[in-house]
Amino acid sequence: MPQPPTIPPLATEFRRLPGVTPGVESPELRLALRMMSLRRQVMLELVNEMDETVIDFTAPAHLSEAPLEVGSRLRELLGVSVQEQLEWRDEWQAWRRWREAVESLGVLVFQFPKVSLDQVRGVSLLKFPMPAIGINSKESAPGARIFTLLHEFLHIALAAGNEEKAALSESRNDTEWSNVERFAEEVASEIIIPENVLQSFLKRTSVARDSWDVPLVRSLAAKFRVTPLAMATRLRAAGQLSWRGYRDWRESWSQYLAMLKPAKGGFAHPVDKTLGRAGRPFTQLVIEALDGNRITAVQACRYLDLRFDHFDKLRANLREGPRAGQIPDDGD
Amino acid sequence: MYSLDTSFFMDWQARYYPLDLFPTLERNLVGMIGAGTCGAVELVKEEIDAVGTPGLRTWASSHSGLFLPMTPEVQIEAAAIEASYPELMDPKGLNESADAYVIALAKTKGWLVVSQETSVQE
Repeated sequence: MPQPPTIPPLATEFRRLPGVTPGVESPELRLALRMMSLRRQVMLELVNEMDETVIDFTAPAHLSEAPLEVGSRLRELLGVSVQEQLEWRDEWQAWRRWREAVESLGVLVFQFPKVSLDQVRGVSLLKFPMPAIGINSKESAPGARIFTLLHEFLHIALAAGNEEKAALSESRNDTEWSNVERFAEEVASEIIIPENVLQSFLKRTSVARDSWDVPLVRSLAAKFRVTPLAMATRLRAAGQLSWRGYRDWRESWSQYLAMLKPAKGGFAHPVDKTLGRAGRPFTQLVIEALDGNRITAVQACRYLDLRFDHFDKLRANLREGPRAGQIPDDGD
Repeated sequence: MYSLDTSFFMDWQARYYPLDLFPTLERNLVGMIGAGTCGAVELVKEEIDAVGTPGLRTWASSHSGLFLPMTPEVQIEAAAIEASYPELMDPKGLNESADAYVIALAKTKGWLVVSQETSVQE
């Protein structure tokens, strides 16, 4: 070509990330963002090619609203009932269901590997239609992935409400931005653990303020399929823990974690990695496009980052759903 | 007299006409390779290695005469094709597509392109 093609900077797509300067992202993060952007673009092209309908994201949020109010409204839209939540058999089922709920509102949910957690836990592409959320798959606890997912979901809702712009255009100072992040955390927390449900649980317990120890918080967290840390944060917001009590609890929690043996490793199957990273809606559409001869097998393999010999297994998984005991993608 | 695209190999061996069920097809193609009446650019081999089934990768490696070097003539022609049809390249893409080189090989040798790619209308 006579000159290099021009492509807009990545920072015109992704949201502002604490500690990440637009334009100087790490190579690993840039690759993850490019993959997300590419998949979103492919999804839009395939939806158009296959005469499918794009689901418009219609759940704006505003910083002037009360976090409880926004959280309650978004939870209603997500369609996850409290009864359903309390019946989930484990946190992985919870993660899949929350992800599906977010996807059903026209948001693509991807996972990305090889980026350290201290860089970023989650990120969003604030592009409409079909905004995209990326979750760092190094996050081993599914409960933590859920919190990050809903935190990012709120950033997309804020962007839809013209309250937030992509990183390159975001001009708030650090303090102002911290307030946005805190708002997102409070809303995410309310979505996962609604205030009224939490209060009904608390009425049935006789734990005094600041008397929440690690086993008690773990027990309550397990009911909601969230991490104990998220539950402790929620208890602090609900007034069950003072700031001092919260700090003491976190200290105990850190000691507890340090005593645990490292989690058993394992290798996720390439099909599970593809489904985890690309998501079911994207994967399903790529397979349909391949079967309809709208794309080649080479393109399908590239889009899904999967060799063709795994496609039969992929199809079976799409038909039958996730298997019990499968090893999740650990982000490496 | 055919420039073969990666999708040709994938559809042949991995999707529709496996070697054990269609031995004559393979025999005829190997004959064409020997006669020099078909070929594929090296980028096609790279794509096969990246996405192909184990059987196809092994087959491609054992028929290395099929894959032709990307001569300066082919590269210049491919660059001209990409300049005229920029949609063949995705600037956001993470992998280089062989499409322009497959066409360039056909053009420089006066061959036909064999590909699975279809137009939207089809």
